[in-house]
Amino acid sequence: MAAEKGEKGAAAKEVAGERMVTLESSDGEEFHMSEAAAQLSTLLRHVIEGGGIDNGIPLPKVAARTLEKVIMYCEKHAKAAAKSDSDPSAAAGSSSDNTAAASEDLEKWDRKLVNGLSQDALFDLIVAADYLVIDGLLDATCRKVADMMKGKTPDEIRKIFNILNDFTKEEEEEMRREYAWAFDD
Amino acid sequence: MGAGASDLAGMELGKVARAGLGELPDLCAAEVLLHLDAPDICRLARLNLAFRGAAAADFVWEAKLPKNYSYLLGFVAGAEEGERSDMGKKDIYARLAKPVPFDDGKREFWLEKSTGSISMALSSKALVITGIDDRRYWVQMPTTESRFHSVAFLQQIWWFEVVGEVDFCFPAGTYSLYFRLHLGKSSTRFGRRICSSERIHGWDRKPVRFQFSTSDGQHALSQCYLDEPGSWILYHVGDFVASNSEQPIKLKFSLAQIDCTHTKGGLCVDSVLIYPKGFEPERVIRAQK
Repeated sequence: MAAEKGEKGAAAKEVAGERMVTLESSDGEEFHMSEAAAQLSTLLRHVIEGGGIDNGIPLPKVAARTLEKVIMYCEKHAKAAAKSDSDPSAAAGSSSDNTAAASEDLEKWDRKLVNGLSQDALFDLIVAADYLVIDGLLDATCRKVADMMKGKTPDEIRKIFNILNDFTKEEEEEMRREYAWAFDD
Repeated sequence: MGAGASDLAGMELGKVARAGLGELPDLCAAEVLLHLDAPDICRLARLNLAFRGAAAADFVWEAKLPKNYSYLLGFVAGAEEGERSDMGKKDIYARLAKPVPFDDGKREFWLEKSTGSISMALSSKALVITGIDDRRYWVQMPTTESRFHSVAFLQQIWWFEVVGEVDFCFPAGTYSLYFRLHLGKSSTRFGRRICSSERIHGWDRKPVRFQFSTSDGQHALSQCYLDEPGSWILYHVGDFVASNSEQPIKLKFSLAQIDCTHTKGGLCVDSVLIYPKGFEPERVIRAQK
Protein backbone atom coordinates (compact mmCIF):
# COMPACT_ATOMS: atom_id res chain seq x y z
CA MET A 1 0.00 0.00 0.00
CA ALA A 2 2.96 2.31 -0.54
CA ALA A 3 1.77 5.68 -1.71
CA GLU A 4 2.70 6.28 -5.32
CA LYS A 5 3.86 9.82 -4.73
CA GLY A 6 5.15 11.95 -7.52
CA GLU A 7 3.37 9.97 -10.16
CA LYS A 8 0.14 11.83 -10.47
CA GLY A 9 0.62 14.72 -8.11
CA ALA A 10 1.05 14.83 -4.38
CA ALA A 11 -2.58 15.72 -3.79
CA ALA A 12 -3.32 12.08 -4.48
CA LYS A 13 -2.92 10.00 -1.33
CA GLU A 14 -4.08 6.47 -0.82
CA VAL A 15 -6.81 5.48 1.58
CA ALA A 16 -7.76 1.81 1.72
CA GLY A 17 -6.35 1.21 -1.75
CA GLU A 18 -8.17 4.15 -3.28
CA ARG A 19 -6.35 7.28 -4.32
CA MET A 20 -7.88 10.37 -2.72
CA VAL A 21 -7.68 14.07 -3.44
CA THR A 22 -8.15 16.89 -0.95
CA LEU A 23 -10.30 19.88 -1.82
CA GLU A 24 -10.72 23.13 0.09
CA SER A 25 -14.02 25.03 -0.11
CA SER A 26 -14.28 28.83 -0.29
CA ASP A 27 -15.09 28.91 3.43
CA GLY A 28 -11.94 26.98 4.36
CA GLU A 29 -13.38 23.49 4.92
CA GLU A 30 -11.41 20.47 3.81
CA PHE A 31 -13.04 17.65 1.85
CA HIS A 32 -11.71 14.37 0.54
CA MET A 33 -12.88 12.67 -2.58
CA SER A 34 -11.66 9.60 -4.44
CA GLU A 35 -9.61 10.30 -7.53
CA ALA A 36 -12.01 8.22 -9.56
CA ALA A 37 -14.81 10.59 -8.53
CA ALA A 38 -12.67 13.65 -9.16
CA GLN A 39 -12.17 12.47 -12.74
CA LEU A 40 -15.80 13.37 -13.44
CA SER A 41 -14.77 17.01 -13.23
CA THR A 42 -12.77 18.02 -16.28
CA LEU A 43 -11.26 20.88 -14.29
CA LEU A 44 -10.08 18.65 -11.43
CA ARG A 45 -8.85 16.03 -13.87
CA HIS A 46 -6.58 18.60 -15.50
CA VAL A 47 -5.33 19.87 -12.14
CA ILE A 48 -4.48 16.34 -11.00
CA GLU A 49 -2.80 15.41 -14.26
CA GLY A 50 -0.87 18.65 -14.19
CA GLY A 51 0.84 17.71 -10.94
CA GLY A 52 -1.75 18.71 -8.37
CA ILE A 53 -1.12 20.71 -5.24
CA ASP A 54 0.60 19.50 -2.08
CA ASN A 55 -1.92 20.52 0.51
CA GLY A 56 -5.08 20.11 -1.49
CA ILE A 57 -6.87 21.90 -4.30
CA PRO A 58 -8.43 25.23 -3.30
CA LEU A 59 -11.84 26.01 -4.77
CA PRO A 60 -12.53 29.65 -3.89
CA LYS A 61 -15.73 29.66 -5.96
CA VAL A 62 -17.38 26.71 -4.25
CA ALA A 63 -18.83 26.89 -0.74
CA ALA A 64 -18.73 23.93 1.64
CA ARG A 65 -22.39 22.93 1.48
CA THR A 66 -22.26 22.98 -2.33
CA LEU A 67 -18.98 21.09 -2.51
CA GLU A 68 -20.51 18.43 -0.29
CA LYS A 69 -23.26 17.85 -2.87
CA VAL A 70 -20.77 17.88 -5.74
CA ILE A 71 -18.74 15.16 -4.04
CA MET A 72 -21.88 13.11 -3.32
CA TYR A 73 -22.76 13.28 -7.02
CA CYS A 74 -19.29 12.38 -8.27
CA GLU A 75 -18.76 9.51 -5.83
CA LYS A 76 -22.17 8.04 -6.71
CA HIS A 77 -21.55 8.23 -10.45
CA ALA A 78 -17.95 6.99 -10.22
CA LYS A 79 -19.12 3.94 -8.24
CA ALA A 80 -21.89 3.25 -10.76
CA ALA A 81 -19.44 3.44 -13.65
CA ALA A 82 -16.99 1.12 -11.87
CA LYS A 83 -19.80 -1.36 -11.18
CA SER A 84 -20.93 -1.55 -14.81
CA ASP A 85 -17.32 -1.81 -15.97
CA SER A 86 -16.64 -4.78 -13.73
CA ASP A 87 -19.88 -6.55 -14.60
CA PRO A 88 -18.84 -9.53 -16.77
CA SER A 89 -22.25 -9.91 -18.36
CA ALA A 90 -22.08 -6.29 -19.48
CA ALA A 91 -19.04 -7.15 -21.55
CA ALA A 92 -20.92 -10.07 -23.07
CA GLY A 93 -23.64 -7.62 -24.00
CA SER A 94 -26.35 -9.82 -22.57
CA SER A 95 -27.41 -7.72 -19.63
CA SER A 96 -28.92 -4.77 -21.42
CA ASP A 97 -31.87 -5.08 -19.02
CA ASN A 98 -29.53 -4.72 -16.05
CA THR A 99 -27.72 -1.72 -17.50
CA ALA A 100 -31.03 -0.08 -18.39
CA ALA A 101 -32.33 -0.62 -14.86
CA ALA A 102 -29.07 0.59 -13.36
CA SER A 103 -29.07 3.78 -15.38
CA GLU A 104 -32.74 4.33 -14.50
CA ASP A 105 -31.85 4.02 -10.82
CA LEU A 106 -29.02 6.50 -11.28
CA GLU A 107 -31.40 8.95 -12.94
CA LYS A 108 -33.82 8.55 -10.04
CA TRP A 109 -30.99 9.25 -7.63
CA ASP A 110 -30.03 12.39 -9.57
CA ARG A 111 -33.61 13.64 -9.53
CA LYS A 112 -33.86 13.04 -5.78
CA LEU A 113 -30.65 14.99 -5.27
CA VAL A 114 -31.81 18.05 -7.19
CA ASN A 115 -35.40 17.90 -5.93
CA GLY A 116 -34.20 18.23 -2.36
CA LEU A 117 -32.46 21.55 -2.97
CA SER A 118 -33.61 25.06 -2.18
CA GLN A 119 -33.51 27.55 -5.05
CA ASP A 120 -30.30 29.10 -3.71
CA ALA A 121 -28.64 25.70 -3.30
CA LEU A 122 -29.73 24.73 -6.81
CA PHE A 123 -28.27 27.90 -8.25
CA ASP A 124 -24.98 27.37 -6.39
CA LEU A 125 -24.82 23.79 -7.63
CA ILE A 126 -25.35 24.86 -11.25
CA VAL A 127 -22.58 27.42 -11.02
CA ALA A 128 -20.27 24.87 -9.33
CA ALA A 129 -21.02 22.19 -11.95
CA ASP A 130 -20.31 24.71 -14.67
CA TYR A 131 -17.07 25.87 -13.05
CA LEU A 132 -15.82 22.36 -12.32
CA VAL A 133 -17.05 21.17 -15.74
CA ILE A 134 -19.12 18.21 -14.56
CA ASP A 135 -21.40 17.64 -17.54
CA GLY A 136 -23.79 15.17 -15.93
CA LEU A 137 -24.38 17.35 -12.88
CA LEU A 138 -24.86 20.48 -14.99
CA ASP A 139 -27.36 18.56 -17.07
CA ALA A 140 -29.31 17.27 -14.06
CA THR A 141 -29.48 20.65 -12.32
CA CYS A 142 -30.42 22.58 -15.46
CA ARG A 143 -33.05 19.99 -16.26
CA LYS A 144 -34.57 20.67 -12.82
CA VAL A 145 -34.70 24.40 -13.48
CA ALA A 146 -36.23 23.73 -16.90
CA ASP A 147 -38.94 21.60 -15.28
CA MET A 148 -39.74 24.44 -12.90
CA MET A 149 -40.05 26.87 -15.82
CA LYS A 150 -42.00 24.69 -18.24
CA GLY A 151 -45.22 26.21 -19.50
CA LYS A 152 -45.00 29.30 -17.30
CA THR A 153 -45.12 32.90 -18.42
CA PRO A 154 -42.11 35.18 -17.84
CA ASP A 155 -44.07 37.04 -15.14
CA GLU A 156 -44.81 33.83 -13.24
CA ILE A 157 -41.18 32.78 -13.47
CA ARG A 158 -39.96 36.14 -12.26
CA LYS A 159 -42.17 35.78 -9.19
CA ILE A 160 -41.07 32.24 -8.41
CA PHE A 161 -37.37 32.88 -8.83
CA ASN A 162 -37.27 36.50 -7.80
CA ILE A 163 -35.77 37.54 -11.10
CA LEU A 164 -35.44 41.16 -12.05
CA ASN A 165 -36.93 42.30 -15.35
CA ASP A 166 -34.01 44.25 -16.75
CA PHE A 167 -35.63 45.10 -20.07
CA THR A 168 -36.86 48.51 -21.08
CA LYS A 169 -40.45 48.74 -22.31
CA GLU A 170 -39.17 49.11 -25.87
CA GLU A 171 -36.92 46.06 -25.55
CA GLU A 172 -39.85 44.02 -24.23
CA GLU A 173 -41.98 45.05 -27.20
CA GLU A 174 -39.15 44.18 -29.58
CA MET A 175 -38.83 40.73 -27.98
CA ARG A 176 -42.56 40.12 -28.30
CA ARG A 177 -42.36 40.86 -32.02
CA GLU A 178 -39.15 38.94 -32.58
CA TYR A 179 -40.62 35.77 -31.12
CA ALA A 180 -44.21 36.18 -32.27
CA TRP A 181 -43.65 33.40 -34.82
CA ALA A 182 -43.60 30.82 -32.04
CA PHE A 183 -47.12 31.66 -30.92
CA ASP A 184 -49.20 32.60 -33.93
CA ASP A 185 -51.49 29.73 -34.89
CA MET B 1 -22.01 18.96 -23.90
CA GLY B 2 -19.19 20.85 -22.29
CA ALA B 3 -20.34 24.23 -21.11
CA GLY B 4 -17.10 25.02 -19.31
CA ALA B 5 -16.30 28.44 -17.97
CA SER B 6 -13.29 28.47 -20.27
CA ASP B 7 -15.60 28.50 -23.30
CA LEU B 8 -16.73 32.03 -22.65
CA ALA B 9 -14.16 34.72 -23.14
CA GLY B 10 -14.52 37.38 -20.50
CA MET B 11 -17.61 35.79 -18.89
CA GLU B 12 -17.89 36.38 -15.23
CA LEU B 13 -19.40 33.65 -13.11
CA GLY B 14 -22.15 34.49 -10.66
CA LYS B 15 -20.57 36.09 -7.63
CA VAL B 16 -20.41 33.72 -4.68
CA ALA B 17 -22.02 36.35 -2.45
CA ARG B 18 -25.77 35.72 -2.69
CA ALA B 19 -26.88 35.52 -6.27
CA GLY B 20 -30.09 33.96 -7.56
CA LEU B 21 -31.26 32.21 -10.69
CA GLY B 22 -31.60 35.64 -12.25
CA GLU B 23 -27.83 35.89 -12.27
CA LEU B 24 -27.20 32.63 -14.09
CA PRO B 25 -24.35 32.99 -16.56
CA ASP B 26 -25.56 32.99 -20.19
CA LEU B 27 -24.15 29.54 -20.84
CA CYS B 28 -25.96 28.00 -17.87
CA ALA B 29 -29.17 29.68 -18.96
CA ALA B 30 -28.63 28.12 -22.38
CA GLU B 31 -28.15 24.70 -20.73
CA VAL B 32 -31.56 25.15 -19.10
CA LEU B 33 -33.12 26.07 -22.45
CA LEU B 34 -31.79 22.85 -24.00
CA HIS B 35 -34.40 21.00 -21.95
CA LEU B 36 -37.34 23.13 -23.07
CA ASP B 37 -39.39 23.17 -26.25
CA ALA B 38 -39.35 26.01 -28.77
CA PRO B 39 -42.42 27.89 -27.46
CA ASP B 40 -41.00 27.83 -23.90
CA ILE B 41 -37.60 29.05 -25.13
CA CYS B 42 -39.28 31.93 -26.95
CA ARG B 43 -41.26 32.81 -23.84
CA LEU B 44 -38.14 32.76 -21.65
CA ALA B 45 -36.27 35.02 -24.06
CA ARG B 46 -38.42 37.75 -22.52
CA LEU B 47 -37.37 36.87 -18.96
CA ASN B 48 -34.23 38.95 -18.63
CA LEU B 49 -31.14 39.92 -20.57
CA ALA B 50 -29.25 36.72 -19.71
CA PHE B 51 -32.07 34.51 -21.01
CA ARG B 52 -32.49 36.68 -24.07
CA GLY B 53 -28.85 36.05 -24.90
CA ALA B 54 -29.19 32.36 -24.19
CA ALA B 55 -32.34 32.07 -26.30
CA ALA B 56 -30.46 33.40 -29.31
CA ALA B 57 -27.63 30.85 -28.96
CA ASP B 58 -27.07 28.71 -32.04
CA PHE B 59 -26.38 25.51 -30.10
CA VAL B 60 -29.74 25.74 -28.34
CA TRP B 61 -31.61 25.82 -31.67
CA GLU B 62 -29.32 23.40 -33.44
CA ALA B 63 -30.41 20.81 -30.87
CA LYS B 64 -34.06 21.47 -31.80
CA LEU B 65 -33.69 21.40 -35.57
CA PRO B 66 -34.17 18.18 -37.53
CA LYS B 67 -30.86 16.65 -38.58
CA ASN B 68 -31.46 17.38 -42.25
CA TYR B 69 -32.43 21.03 -41.83
CA SER B 70 -30.06 22.09 -44.64
CA TYR B 71 -31.93 19.84 -47.06
CA LEU B 72 -35.26 21.20 -45.82
CA LEU B 73 -34.04 24.78 -46.10
CA GLY B 74 -33.26 24.07 -49.74
CA PHE B 75 -36.99 24.11 -50.47
CA VAL B 76 -37.41 27.63 -49.16
CA ALA B 77 -37.86 29.90 -52.16
CA GLY B 78 -35.70 32.97 -52.32
CA ALA B 79 -33.13 31.73 -49.80
CA GLU B 80 -29.88 31.79 -51.77
CA GLU B 81 -26.98 29.54 -50.77
CA GLY B 82 -25.04 32.41 -49.25
CA GLU B 83 -28.05 33.75 -47.35
CA ARG B 84 -28.79 30.33 -45.95
CA SER B 85 -25.34 29.93 -44.46
CA ASP B 86 -25.73 33.31 -42.79
CA MET B 87 -28.99 32.43 -41.09
CA GLY B 88 -28.80 31.83 -37.37
CA LYS B 89 -30.19 28.50 -36.24
CA LYS B 90 -33.08 30.23 -34.49
CA ASP B 91 -34.06 31.95 -37.72
CA ILE B 92 -33.86 28.64 -39.56
CA TYR B 93 -36.21 27.10 -37.00
CA ALA B 94 -38.59 30.04 -37.31
CA ARG B 95 -38.59 29.81 -41.12
CA LEU B 96 -39.20 26.07 -41.20
CA ALA B 97 -42.01 26.45 -38.65
CA LYS B 98 -43.95 28.32 -41.34
CA PRO B 99 -45.34 26.19 -44.18
CA VAL B 100 -42.75 25.71 -46.93
CA PRO B 101 -44.54 25.27 -50.26
CA PHE B 102 -43.05 23.23 -53.09
CA ASP B 103 -44.14 21.47 -56.25
CA ASP B 104 -45.69 24.70 -57.50
CA GLY B 105 -47.55 25.24 -54.28
CA LYS B 106 -49.37 21.91 -54.53
CA ARG B 107 -47.51 20.55 -51.53
CA GLU B 108 -46.08 21.99 -48.37
CA PHE B 109 -44.25 20.90 -45.25
CA TRP B 110 -43.60 22.58 -41.93
CA LEU B 111 -41.97 22.06 -38.56
CA GLU B 112 -44.35 21.42 -35.66
CA LYS B 113 -43.31 24.21 -33.28
CA SER B 114 -43.38 22.25 -30.04
CA THR B 115 -41.76 19.06 -31.17
CA GLY B 116 -39.54 20.06 -34.07
CA SER B 117 -40.90 17.22 -36.19
CA ILE B 118 -41.93 17.59 -39.80
CA SER B 119 -45.47 17.39 -41.15
CA MET B 120 -46.46 17.46 -44.80
CA ALA B 121 -49.63 18.14 -46.78
CA LEU B 122 -50.37 17.29 -50.40
CA SER B 123 -53.29 19.13 -51.99
CA SER B 124 -55.81 17.33 -54.18
CA LYS B 125 -53.96 18.92 -57.10
CA ALA B 126 -50.85 16.93 -56.19
CA LEU B 127 -52.82 13.68 -56.38
CA VAL B 128 -53.80 11.71 -59.46
CA ILE B 129 -57.58 11.48 -59.41
CA THR B 130 -59.31 9.37 -62.07
CA GLY B 131 -61.70 11.52 -64.07
CA ILE B 132 -60.65 14.79 -62.40
CA ASP B 133 -60.91 16.71 -65.64
CA ASP B 134 -64.45 15.60 -66.34
CA ARG B 135 -66.90 18.04 -64.81
CA ARG B 136 -69.60 15.39 -64.81
CA TYR B 137 -67.58 13.62 -62.15
CA TRP B 138 -65.32 16.05 -60.31
CA VAL B 139 -65.48 19.77 -59.55
CA GLN B 140 -62.86 22.00 -57.91
CA MET B 141 -64.49 23.78 -54.98
CA PRO B 142 -62.95 26.79 -53.29
CA THR B 143 -63.23 26.63 -49.51
CA THR B 144 -61.75 28.15 -46.39
CA GLU B 145 -61.69 24.74 -44.75
CA SER B 146 -58.63 23.58 -46.67
CA ARG B 147 -55.09 24.82 -46.19
CA PHE B 148 -54.93 24.86 -49.99
CA HIS B 149 -58.19 26.86 -50.22
CA SER B 150 -59.65 24.39 -52.68
CA VAL B 151 -60.86 20.80 -52.57
CA ALA B 152 -61.94 18.29 -55.20
CA PHE B 153 -65.63 17.50 -54.91
CA LEU B 154 -66.94 14.24 -56.31
CA GLN B 155 -70.43 14.53 -57.77
CA GLN B 156 -70.71 10.96 -58.90
CA ILE B 157 -68.55 8.30 -60.48
CA TRP B 158 -68.24 4.54 -60.84
CA TRP B 159 -64.47 4.35 -60.75
CA PHE B 160 -63.31 6.23 -57.68
CA GLU B 161 -59.55 6.21 -57.37
CA VAL B 162 -57.08 8.69 -55.89
CA VAL B 163 -53.37 7.95 -56.12
CA GLY B 164 -50.34 9.83 -54.84
CA GLU B 165 -46.59 9.67 -54.48
CA VAL B 166 -44.02 11.34 -52.27
CA ASP B 167 -40.24 11.30 -52.60
CA PHE B 168 -38.63 13.05 -49.66
CA CYS B 169 -35.98 12.90 -46.96
CA PHE B 170 -38.01 12.72 -43.78
CA PRO B 171 -36.13 13.32 -40.52
CA ALA B 172 -35.73 9.96 -38.80
CA GLY B 173 -38.88 8.94 -36.98
CA THR B 174 -42.27 7.30 -37.37
CA TYR B 175 -45.03 8.93 -39.39
CA SER B 176 -48.69 8.32 -40.16
CA LEU B 177 -50.31 9.01 -43.53
CA TYR B 178 -53.94 10.10 -43.84
CA PHE B 179 -56.48 11.10 -46.49
CA ARG B 180 -58.45 14.15 -45.35
CA LEU B 181 -62.02 13.61 -46.55
CA HIS B 182 -65.46 15.09 -45.98
CA LEU B 183 -68.81 13.58 -46.86
CA GLY B 184 -71.13 16.29 -48.11
CA LYS B 185 -70.65 19.89 -49.11
CA SER B 186 -70.27 22.61 -46.53
CA SER B 187 -70.96 26.29 -46.86
CA THR B 188 -71.47 29.28 -44.59
CA ARG B 189 -74.77 31.04 -44.40
CA PHE B 190 -75.31 33.98 -42.05
CA GLY B 191 -72.05 33.10 -40.31
CA ARG B 192 -73.11 29.53 -39.58
CA ARG B 193 -71.65 26.42 -41.12
CA ILE B 194 -74.21 24.50 -43.13
CA CYS B 195 -73.68 21.01 -44.45
CA SER B 196 -75.53 19.67 -47.42
CA SER B 197 -75.82 15.92 -47.78
CA GLU B 198 -77.20 16.08 -51.31
CA ARG B 199 -75.21 13.86 -53.61
CA ILE B 200 -73.90 11.64 -50.83
CA HIS B 201 -74.50 8.10 -52.05
CA GLY B 202 -72.87 4.75 -52.59
CA TRP B 203 -70.48 4.71 -49.65
CA ASP B 204 -72.52 2.27 -47.65
CA ARG B 205 -72.59 -0.31 -50.45
CA LYS B 206 -68.95 -1.29 -50.38
CA PRO B 207 -65.97 -0.12 -48.34
CA VAL B 208 -63.16 1.97 -49.80
CA ARG B 209 -59.71 0.43 -49.97
CA PHE B 210 -56.52 2.12 -48.76
CA GLN B 211 -53.15 0.99 -50.00
CA PHE B 212 -49.73 2.18 -49.02
CA SER B 213 -46.14 1.14 -49.72
CA THR B 214 -42.64 2.53 -49.35
CA SER B 215 -39.45 2.12 -51.36
CA ASP B 216 -37.92 0.18 -48.46
CA GLY B 217 -40.59 -2.44 -48.23
CA GLN B 218 -43.04 -1.08 -45.69
CA HIS B 219 -46.67 -1.45 -46.69
CA ALA B 220 -50.23 -1.44 -45.47
CA LEU B 221 -53.60 -2.44 -46.87
CA SER B 222 -56.96 -1.75 -45.28
CA GLN B 223 -60.55 -0.91 -46.00
CA CYS B 224 -63.42 0.86 -44.34
CA TYR B 225 -66.78 2.47 -44.99
CA LEU B 226 -66.69 6.23 -45.29
CA ASP B 227 -68.96 7.82 -42.73
CA GLU B 228 -69.70 10.81 -40.51
CA PRO B 229 -71.05 13.28 -43.05
CA GLY B 230 -70.47 16.91 -42.19
CA SER B 231 -67.06 16.50 -40.58
CA TRP B 232 -63.53 16.49 -41.88
CA ILE B 233 -62.05 13.11 -41.13
CA LEU B 234 -58.47 11.90 -41.30
CA TYR B 235 -58.63 8.37 -42.69
CA HIS B 236 -55.53 6.54 -41.55
CA VAL B 237 -53.76 4.75 -44.39
CA GLY B 238 -50.64 3.49 -42.68
CA ASP B 239 -47.51 4.23 -40.70
CA PHE B 240 -43.96 4.26 -41.92
CA VAL B 241 -40.55 4.59 -40.34
CA ALA B 242 -37.96 6.91 -41.82
CA SER B 243 -34.72 5.45 -40.50
CA ASN B 244 -32.27 7.91 -41.99
CA SER B 245 -32.66 11.66 -42.42
CA GLU B 246 -30.11 11.65 -45.23
CA GLN B 247 -31.90 9.07 -47.31
CA PRO B 248 -34.97 9.84 -49.44
CA ILE B 249 -37.92 7.53 -49.01
CA LYS B 250 -40.50 7.03 -51.75
CA LEU B 251 -44.11 6.61 -50.66
CA LYS B 252 -46.97 5.38 -52.86
CA PHE B 253 -50.53 5.45 -51.60
CA SER B 254 -54.03 5.17 -52.94
CA LEU B 255 -57.67 5.33 -52.03
CA ALA B 256 -60.10 3.47 -54.25
CA GLN B 257 -63.61 2.15 -54.64
CA ILE B 258 -63.82 0.79 -58.15
CA ASP B 259 -66.77 -1.54 -57.96
CA CYS B 260 -68.60 -0.51 -61.10
CA THR B 261 -71.99 -1.88 -60.17
CA HIS B 262 -72.78 1.28 -58.24
CA THR B 263 -71.89 4.96 -58.35
CA LYS B 264 -70.70 6.97 -55.42
CA GLY B 265 -70.52 10.68 -54.79
CA GLY B 266 -70.92 13.64 -52.49
CA LEU B 267 -67.34 13.45 -51.23
CA CYS B 268 -64.76 16.21 -50.76
CA VAL B 269 -61.14 15.16 -51.14
CA ASP B 270 -58.98 17.82 -49.53
CA SER B 271 -55.50 16.44 -49.12
CA VAL B 272 -53.12 13.77 -47.99
CA LEU B 273 -51.44 14.50 -44.68
CA ILE B 274 -48.29 13.05 -43.23
CA TYR B 275 -47.98 13.67 -39.50
CA PRO B 276 -45.56 12.43 -36.88
CA LYS B 277 -47.15 9.30 -35.42
CA GLY B 278 -49.42 10.19 -32.54
CA PHE B 279 -50.13 13.75 -33.69
CA GLU B 280 -53.86 13.83 -34.47
CA PRO B 281 -55.16 17.36 -34.76
CA GLU B 282 -58.51 16.19 -36.18
CA ARG B 283 -60.83 13.21 -35.93
CA VAL B 284 -59.08 10.06 -37.10
CA ILE B 285 -60.70 6.92 -38.40
CA ARG B 286 -58.64 3.78 -38.68
CA ALA B 287 -59.65 1.28 -41.29
CA GLN B 288 -59.81 -2.47 -40.79
CA LYS B 289 -56.94 -4.53 -42.13
